[in-house]
Amino acid sequence: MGRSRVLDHSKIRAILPHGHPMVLVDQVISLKLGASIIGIKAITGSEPCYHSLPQGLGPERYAYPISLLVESFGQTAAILWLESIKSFNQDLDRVLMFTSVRNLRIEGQAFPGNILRHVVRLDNIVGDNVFVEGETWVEDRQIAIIESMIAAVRPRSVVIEYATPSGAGMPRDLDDTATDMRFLSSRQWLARSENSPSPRASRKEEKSSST
Amino acid sequence: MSQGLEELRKIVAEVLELEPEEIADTGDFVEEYGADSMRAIEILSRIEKKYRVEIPQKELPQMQTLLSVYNVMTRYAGWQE
Repeated sequence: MGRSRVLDHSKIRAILPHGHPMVLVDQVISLKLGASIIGIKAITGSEPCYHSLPQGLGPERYAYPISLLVESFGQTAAILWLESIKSFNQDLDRVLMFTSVRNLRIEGQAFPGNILRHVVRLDNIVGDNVFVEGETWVEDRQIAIIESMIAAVRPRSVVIEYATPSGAGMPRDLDDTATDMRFLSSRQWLARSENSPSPRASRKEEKSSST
Repeated sequence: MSQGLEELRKIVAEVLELEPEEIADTGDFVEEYGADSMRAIEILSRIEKKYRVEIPQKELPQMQTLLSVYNVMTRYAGWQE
């Protein structure tokens, strides 16, 4: 503890269970085990979230999605926890699952070309649950404040059982609601959003039909 | 007892997203206020932070009402019964 470490992208890929393109942390510039972390995420126009946008949209339509910003923050927090328990020689056969955020305030937007800086502090650990807090910055602008994010630590075997590609064995309510932010289901979420019409596109249709 | 109890009522109300006066001393968090297990863990975490005490997770099943949370505090934080 006390000494700060840095992690390059290859190390982040080895730490997080996510695969491309859902790894939303590029670099860690400061890691204090059991205490805090600063994660970096560069936003580019070639990311999947901008893939199917039609031509001719205004600049505000390229704001980085809040859901991905929170996911990126959560992954930064996950690195802090995973590296911390590794250093304490604890059981690594467990994964973190995002469960909730309390008092999230969005105070600005980020766009392709911006670099997100997530400053995350470990707040408390209660049994198998981790509490973190922090802020997201773009240069000197604070764009998000997360007063409390909670993740549940569960055995890897239990999570994998529910996250099979077909979704077999997954309780219906889990499958249908809020799966986009759960770490291991991000691929399922991507597959689903590619198959269904883009919400952005449908919103545009609504708008044009009403005018 | 009253000051501690009122502070706890405020914490519980914040987590359950209710007004403090809506939380009765013996109202069941799950049955009456729609709480789930994560809410109970949040309540425990906030209490630990505010009062700098450590409450074992095995106490969670007992922390179902404001009064039972108070009773846990009498055992782990030396509060008066």
